[in-house]
Amino acid sequence: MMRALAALTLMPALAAAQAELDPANLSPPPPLEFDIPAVERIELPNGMILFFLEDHELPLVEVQTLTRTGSVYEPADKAGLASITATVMRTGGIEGMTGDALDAELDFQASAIEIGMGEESCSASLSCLTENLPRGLELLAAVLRTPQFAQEKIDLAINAERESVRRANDDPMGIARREFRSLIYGRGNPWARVTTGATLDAITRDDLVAFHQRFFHPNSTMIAVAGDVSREALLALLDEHFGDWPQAELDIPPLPEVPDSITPGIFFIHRPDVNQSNVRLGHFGVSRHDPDEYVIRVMNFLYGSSGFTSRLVREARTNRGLTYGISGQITEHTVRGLYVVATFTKSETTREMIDVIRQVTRDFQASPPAEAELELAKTSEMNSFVFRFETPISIASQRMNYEYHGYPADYLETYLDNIRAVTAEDVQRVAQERMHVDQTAILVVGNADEIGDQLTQLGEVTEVPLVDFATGEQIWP
Amino acid sequence: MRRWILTLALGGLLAATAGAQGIIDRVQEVVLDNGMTFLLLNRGEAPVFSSVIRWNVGSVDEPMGLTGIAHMFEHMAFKGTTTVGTTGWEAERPALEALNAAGVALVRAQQDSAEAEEIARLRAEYDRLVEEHRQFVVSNELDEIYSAAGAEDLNAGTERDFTTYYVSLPANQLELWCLIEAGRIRDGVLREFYAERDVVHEERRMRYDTDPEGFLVEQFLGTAFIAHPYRFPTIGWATDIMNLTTEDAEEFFREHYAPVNACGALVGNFDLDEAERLIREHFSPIPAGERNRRVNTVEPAQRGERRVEVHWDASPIVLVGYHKPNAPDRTDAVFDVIQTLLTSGRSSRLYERMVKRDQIATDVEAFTFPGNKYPNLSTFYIQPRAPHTSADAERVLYEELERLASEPVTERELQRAINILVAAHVRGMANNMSLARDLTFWHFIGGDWRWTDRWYDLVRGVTAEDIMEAARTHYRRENRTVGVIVPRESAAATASPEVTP
Repeated sequence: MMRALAALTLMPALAAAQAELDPANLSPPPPLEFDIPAVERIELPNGMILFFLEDHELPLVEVQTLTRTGSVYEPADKAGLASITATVMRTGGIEGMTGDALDAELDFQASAIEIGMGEESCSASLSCLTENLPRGLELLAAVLRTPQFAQEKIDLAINAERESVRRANDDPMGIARREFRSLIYGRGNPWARVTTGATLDAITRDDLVAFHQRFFHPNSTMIAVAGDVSREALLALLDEHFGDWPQAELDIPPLPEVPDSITPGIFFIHRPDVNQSNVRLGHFGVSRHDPDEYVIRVMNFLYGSSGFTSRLVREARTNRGLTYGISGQITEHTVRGLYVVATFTKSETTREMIDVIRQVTRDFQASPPAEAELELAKTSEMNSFVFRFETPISIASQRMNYEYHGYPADYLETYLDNIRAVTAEDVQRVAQERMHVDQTAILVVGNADEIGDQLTQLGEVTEVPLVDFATGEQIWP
Repeated sequence: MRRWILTLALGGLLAATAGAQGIIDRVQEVVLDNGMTFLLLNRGEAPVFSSVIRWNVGSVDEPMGLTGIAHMFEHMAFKGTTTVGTTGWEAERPALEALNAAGVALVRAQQDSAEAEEIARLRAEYDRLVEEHRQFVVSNELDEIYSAAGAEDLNAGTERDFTTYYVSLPANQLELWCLIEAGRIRDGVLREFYAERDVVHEERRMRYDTDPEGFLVEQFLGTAFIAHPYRFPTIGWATDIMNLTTEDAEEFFREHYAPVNACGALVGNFDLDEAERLIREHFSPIPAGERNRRVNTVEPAQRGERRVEVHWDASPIVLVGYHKPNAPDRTDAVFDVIQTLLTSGRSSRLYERMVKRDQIATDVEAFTFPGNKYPNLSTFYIQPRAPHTSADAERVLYEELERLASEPVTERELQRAINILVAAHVRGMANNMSLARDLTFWHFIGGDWRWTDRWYDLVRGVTAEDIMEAARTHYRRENRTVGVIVPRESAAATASPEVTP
């Protein structure tokens, strides 16, 4: 044993050599010289806002668009409409061209146009070789402006979605993610909506056409372009393909509200076949542009969003070996985000895991973080800042996203100073004000036969019905 | 019109490839006296670099009964060194040695089915030593040092072929990177081993025991390979994981982690001369060792279809695999083209047929699995769409593979697949980490990092005849393994489906 360890570590002969090899004794590196690359912001005559960064290293151009719409605007009885509209904009043909012909042309050029619906935005992208940019932009414009919504492609998209609804309960982690949101936002709330067989049945072609017409206009769309194209060439192409896209009076309803409070308690869903419990614990988080947003960033790092250096990981994973992964943070959202701790552990240690989360949280609130701990969080955030500017398209689209979500124009330029200003007292105050560990909803998705009475030891357990969303039938209990 | 598009696309790709080759040609190779190779490449604007250290050792190199040890060692490589992760190594050392000895004694007693009393005594002793040792541990210090320096992408991965450590850092942190990475090789310490073993067991539960697809993959590979260690799960069987000891980890390290078995790559916008100087200074003192031996077991030719079912409360999934040669054999480039032609993009053959036309599946993918260092499988993953069954999906797949073996693909289909592969290669050039991974991959797989580009010369040369030949030779029923998830209610109700090619 001794011999083995000696061979493994090969102790340096001299203590001096040892000290030299200690990273703690390394003198600080030369300062990093770095200017935030300038992204040009141009308001196009049709109302679109362009974010542009030229870069000629490779013969490639990347384009992203962002349109003000989202799944929260679809009617409750047609859940899935927004995302199916986006899918069929891409697959259902454009003026003068079927969807299949579009697929074939893009594939042959190794270009990609993709489009995805979020809760409160829709993003489309084009990635192509420089030579294919004129045609790529023409096709991207057509996908946004003149989708044909061929009925057969609508059926295809709805059928595919039906299959994913059918599979929605196959993965326990997926169940936990979905049902926890329903517990917090309330079942059926637009921020926690679930697509079902019945809502898919209700979606018609007219719904897709109307959804597209209502939301997709140049004055509700931003575009980021980065890569191997000059400013003049790009502006000419944008004018050619988007220039005559008429503006419209926008009809964007206010974002849906969320309840004032949650129902705390212990909630359970049984799954056979598994030997591990998925655990989620939390309540509401904060709205975007919260006055404490920088404190929350630093607090999240210390509490549970930073991987190995966080309190939750240190106790639950490193010290106790209870899990492979645990994260905890307060998220921001335009209306209201979540405070959520998410993890998984073997059935036998389900209760121990919940106890650990609560204890770590109470300890975290009980005293301000040590100066060294706080310094680590802030230094890490500041030193990794440069990675936000690693690729041209991430630089350009980042600017676009911040403007879309209403951040001030100098958000990135003032970011480091704002992080630097966070104090240990700030962190403790926010931890106390924003996390209420005794007022949380705790959801466990696991195997009742293996978990036994661990949850009832903690209090009354509410069984959450598990529904097969394809048929509406209750599977459990 | 058609011809025009063809010309344009080809012109673009030629230019793109030329640009990409220009980048690869700038790689600077540094080989140390102890055999460790470094590949340095300047690219990009942002003052950052991504690093990969790839070890030519993976789970195929594990001894019998110790599945999971390669991956377990990878986890331990984050626990620090004689200078990182400790309040002081001289004081810590006796406590750690006593603890690790107690851990081995406990595992051995359990293996030997010792009396319950004896096991309880050993466990109590072990628990006591864990507490005693804890005072010397600076938990996760390696992560903290890297984090404070602004690291991103800090992680590692163990596969069947390789173990890979990676991190991205601001360009002014070259020396810190050298100190930590050379330290991990030279002065690694196995701390907190048994708690980490529990962590790995939880990782196993998450990926394989509670996820029907993960479970299916494990069963599928165990069926497709009967002799070659590609049959074993990299994470390890549950009982093997729970029997691993620090002695096993030390042994594995000593056997395999010699500098000659490592290739490091740094890609980004950093000072090349300074990097070479620091690398020579920090990595050269690591003692040389033996080159790893290849696995000599050759999977015997398959002489009949093999099938495996997994009954689960979940929807069906189908995996189909055919044995084939591995890179850099030219046949593997033919399969790259075939797999792309069949499932990459919405106009690919299988996507068009199964997802768009017949609508019997919602997803179909083809890929090479589960490794690249030894002969592997051309693998198909299909998600059937109800009411269509796994048997329906299999039937259509076999029809299409039969067609591939009997009719030449069109020139345009072939060109489309090649365009997609080459363009993906060019896009990979825009990403520091992706380049660092590719360079180190080809250093071992092709014996030279220049294969990063050279491979695409092979891809571009693939012909319609090559495709027919490869399909005829390899997509045969007797060379096939099929794995399916059978929903529990239908498993109870019906016998296994009859399938013919």
